[in-house]
Amino acid sequence: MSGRARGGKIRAPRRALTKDDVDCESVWEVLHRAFREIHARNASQLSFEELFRNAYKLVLKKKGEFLFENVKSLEISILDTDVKSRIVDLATPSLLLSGSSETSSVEKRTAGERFISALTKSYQDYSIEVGMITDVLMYMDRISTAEGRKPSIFTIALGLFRERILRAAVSEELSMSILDLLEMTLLDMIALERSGEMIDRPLIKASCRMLENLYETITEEESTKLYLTSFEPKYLDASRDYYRNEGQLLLQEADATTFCSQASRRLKEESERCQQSLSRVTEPKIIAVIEKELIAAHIAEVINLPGTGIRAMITNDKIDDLRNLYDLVHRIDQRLKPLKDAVHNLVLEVGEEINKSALQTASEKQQPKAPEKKEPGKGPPPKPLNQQTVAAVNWVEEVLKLKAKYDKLWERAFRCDGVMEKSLEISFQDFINGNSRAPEFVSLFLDQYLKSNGKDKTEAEVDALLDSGVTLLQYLADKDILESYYHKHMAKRLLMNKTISRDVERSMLSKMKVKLGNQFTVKMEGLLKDVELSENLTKQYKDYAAKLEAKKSSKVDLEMHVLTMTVWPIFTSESELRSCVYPAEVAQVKESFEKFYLGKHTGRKLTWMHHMGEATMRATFKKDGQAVTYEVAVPTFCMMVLMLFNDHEKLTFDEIQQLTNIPTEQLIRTMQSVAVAPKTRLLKKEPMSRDVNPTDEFSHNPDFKHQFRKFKVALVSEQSNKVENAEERKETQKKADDQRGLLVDAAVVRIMKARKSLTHQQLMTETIQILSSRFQPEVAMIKKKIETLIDREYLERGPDPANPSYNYLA
Amino acid sequence: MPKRKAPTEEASIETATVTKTKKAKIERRKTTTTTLHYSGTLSSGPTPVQQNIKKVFDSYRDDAVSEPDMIGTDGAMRYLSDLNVDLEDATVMAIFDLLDSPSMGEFSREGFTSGWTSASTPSNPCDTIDRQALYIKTLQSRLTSDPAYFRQVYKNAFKYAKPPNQRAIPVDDAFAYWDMFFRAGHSGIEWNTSSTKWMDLWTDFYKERVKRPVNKDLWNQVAELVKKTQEPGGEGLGWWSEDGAWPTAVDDFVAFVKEKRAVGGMDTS
Repeated sequence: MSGRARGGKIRAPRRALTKDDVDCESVWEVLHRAFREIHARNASQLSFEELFRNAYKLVLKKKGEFLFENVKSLEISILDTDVKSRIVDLATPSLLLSGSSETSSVEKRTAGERFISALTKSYQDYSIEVGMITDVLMYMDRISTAEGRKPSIFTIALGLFRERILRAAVSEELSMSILDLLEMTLLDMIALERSGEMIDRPLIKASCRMLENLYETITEEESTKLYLTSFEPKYLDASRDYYRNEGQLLLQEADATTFCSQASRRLKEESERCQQSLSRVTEPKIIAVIEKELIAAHIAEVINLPGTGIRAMITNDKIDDLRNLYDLVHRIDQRLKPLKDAVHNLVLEVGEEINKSALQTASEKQQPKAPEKKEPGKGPPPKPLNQQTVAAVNWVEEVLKLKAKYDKLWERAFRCDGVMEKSLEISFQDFINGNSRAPEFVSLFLDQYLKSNGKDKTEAEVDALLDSGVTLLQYLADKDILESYYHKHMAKRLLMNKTISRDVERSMLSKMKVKLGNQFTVKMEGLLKDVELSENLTKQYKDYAAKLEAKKSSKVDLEMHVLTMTVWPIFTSESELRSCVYPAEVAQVKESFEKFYLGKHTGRKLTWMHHMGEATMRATFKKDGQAVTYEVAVPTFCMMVLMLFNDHEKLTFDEIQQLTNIPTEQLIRTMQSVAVAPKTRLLKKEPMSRDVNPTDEFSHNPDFKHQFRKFKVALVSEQSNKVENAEERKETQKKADDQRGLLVDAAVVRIMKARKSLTHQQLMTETIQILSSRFQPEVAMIKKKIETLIDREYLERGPDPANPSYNYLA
Repeated sequence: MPKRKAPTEEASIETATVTKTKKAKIERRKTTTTTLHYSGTLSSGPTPVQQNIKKVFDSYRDDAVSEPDMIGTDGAMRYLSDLNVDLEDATVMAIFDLLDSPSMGEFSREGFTSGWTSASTPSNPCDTIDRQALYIKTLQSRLTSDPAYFRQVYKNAFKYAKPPNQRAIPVDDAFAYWDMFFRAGHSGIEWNTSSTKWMDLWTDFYKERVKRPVNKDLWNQVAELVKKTQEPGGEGLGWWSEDGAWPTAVDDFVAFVKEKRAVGGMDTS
């Protein structure tokens, strides 16, 4: 029973079908009518269930093919007649003639909007209708697609829409298709929007969505969407033309600022357009178009636009414009070449200006100084270093100002870009090292503020200045020259007691150490150590002397610096080391100290630097029975001379020299200081003139008067001070060169010893790399050193002259 | 070309012949050379050719008693004139090179024998003065025709051109040899190209601007310089670059030539 029931159930439909198998035409008739109703939007009357069963029946009866073909031709006829006519009617002449001047833009727009909306509406309706039909034919689709022969009827229908509608000619006379017209209209609308008019964005979006849903072929590959194959290329082409044009116009008419802001606005607009009107997939492409046609094509020119380009922006601190510009350049070139180059040139230009004016200031002094020489009565000539210091301080301050400006720009306009940072660093390096005296200037600048005489500034200000001075260190290529200047300046500060404080000096050294490495400050630390040791020593000696005092009662107070010869850059010629004759009282103390010191440290040698010393003495002048006592600070040589006049009334220059053994040149300056310089004429000179001759006579000056009880006699600077300074500078340079030669030699040998064999290029590169922390070695110098090393048989040339190399010979 | 061995290696050859096979690869000719040198101690006797060479050597010795293994200056002059060699000719340097002279105008027995032995072939032994003179003729033509050989002789000449115990050749001496090697008529390579008289320029340049004695490196590099200027297209100095490894004197010379050309409007192509 159950078996029968089962069988009956299986058989029943078959029987039913066999009954009406003849009837496929009439079944189709039912479906046909229903489908037409659907397309006429009358589907509410229809029974889906009944239609589905009909379609199912046909397919079961192997009439699927028949059904499929019939549906297809039905769709064709519907598209060709109903749908198409609705659209073609709207392709009005005003729309077709678009672009011509006769058509007013309003008319064109309305016609366009109507056309687009009709087309998209048709498409939307049609796809809904086809969707319904597809539902009815679901079984047919399942069978035929399962057999892999045919795509879904929905796909077929949309393909038909593409072929029969979009690809159809607008009218018989025109070869233009509806798709062409659609695209043209869309482009027109976008052009309108670009020129500032409002357009119906959702409408455009709808038509783009339509194009995105239609494919070139029934296989429906992602890349064959009509949007991608047809519209987008046209859109990009049109945009390319548009922006090419706009770029040229902007360049002709606008300034750099406008250009940049316009370009940024365009970028924003286009991405907005892609999101709201077109498709997101276009966004990167259209952005690339703008970047190429608008930005990359013109940016270099824009940067250099006279009057409004980067020069004006930087000069006027237009941070926002610069940031805009930076953003644009950054889009097209991560290496920022056009921007980098322009900024580099600007920095160099300003920097060279700074260099020039500083060097001018530095050399200016020679002019006003020359006439001054002839009038010795005008007071002590200003210290010749002053002008150098002024030039140096000005230069450093200008450089720092420039740096601060660019630091700000970098931070706020260039978004702390690493490439820009590097480029700015190079620019600064270039122009700073374009000033051959940069190391000296930096050192003079630091010297100026490390000296206690700059009292007009607060501690914090000085600190800040010193800090900023230190930042310049890293730009200097010739760090070895800086080292020797700083060393010299620092030695002077310490010896002359001019330094603000040793703590500041020490903190300065540690700052330098951070920037330049430990080796750099070794010598300077030696200076500090000596000064500190000397202080202790002075104290110890005082205790020691106090014990002797009881017996000898010396009136001389001694304070001294014991300086390690190798650490202090004090130049001493032989003549200066000659033993000068001290007044007996002083000589006694000197001997006593020597005894004390050598008793403490055996095997050392003390050499007295007479020219560095200073003495404070009390001098009493009697006139008209009135005695005035002054406390005078004088250089050691002056002291030696003045003390002579305790025992002598009158002495000639020659006699003085015999008595003191002071070198002639020094003695001349000494005598000028105490007998010629107008404010400190402690001695009378016969004949009275500026020049000092061997036969000149000197005597006590009873008329001497000074407005203060305590004053200082400055050693008259050498007449040829200026020239000497230049010579000193040459000397410093030469010493640095010799030093460099040794360093190059050592570096080459060290490298070759480790590597045994290297090509010429490699050896050059490695040598430069090793040395660049100290200075920028010249290629010629390295080559010369290599040559001498070959000659001295440390190295030999490799066998192949085409690929030059060297071998190390142990 | 004969390749000379440093003394230490010869010592090892001696042991090699008795003990180890490691040195067995050494060519026969070298072994014979050494055996001959130590003829008193080793078993295999000298070949007839070597005996003849020995005879030639012996006949030119200055002082057979106090220096039995040397030909001094007088003997060398006699020998060279017997070979029909012009003393001003670069061939002289080729002979010194061939016979590994210890210094200018001297021949040692060892160098003389090994040089001529290596030059000899079974069919063509160089064991009489006439045969040697013939061989020297071939060397003379080789100097001009075989650049590599020329360079070998040139480089080796430094040893003979420099005063003993010094590192460099004085300028005038150096030019005497440069003239010999690089000017026409001395069997050397004439250092001229179609556009440029290089040797004249080099002489002017070096004597006016450098004036330093010529050290070995510069001596050798001049040979490279000559080669470079004579390569196709080398006249234009396009091969030169400031990054190159040339000695400073050559760098300066290139600048000198360029300057001259700029002023004189010479064709630099």
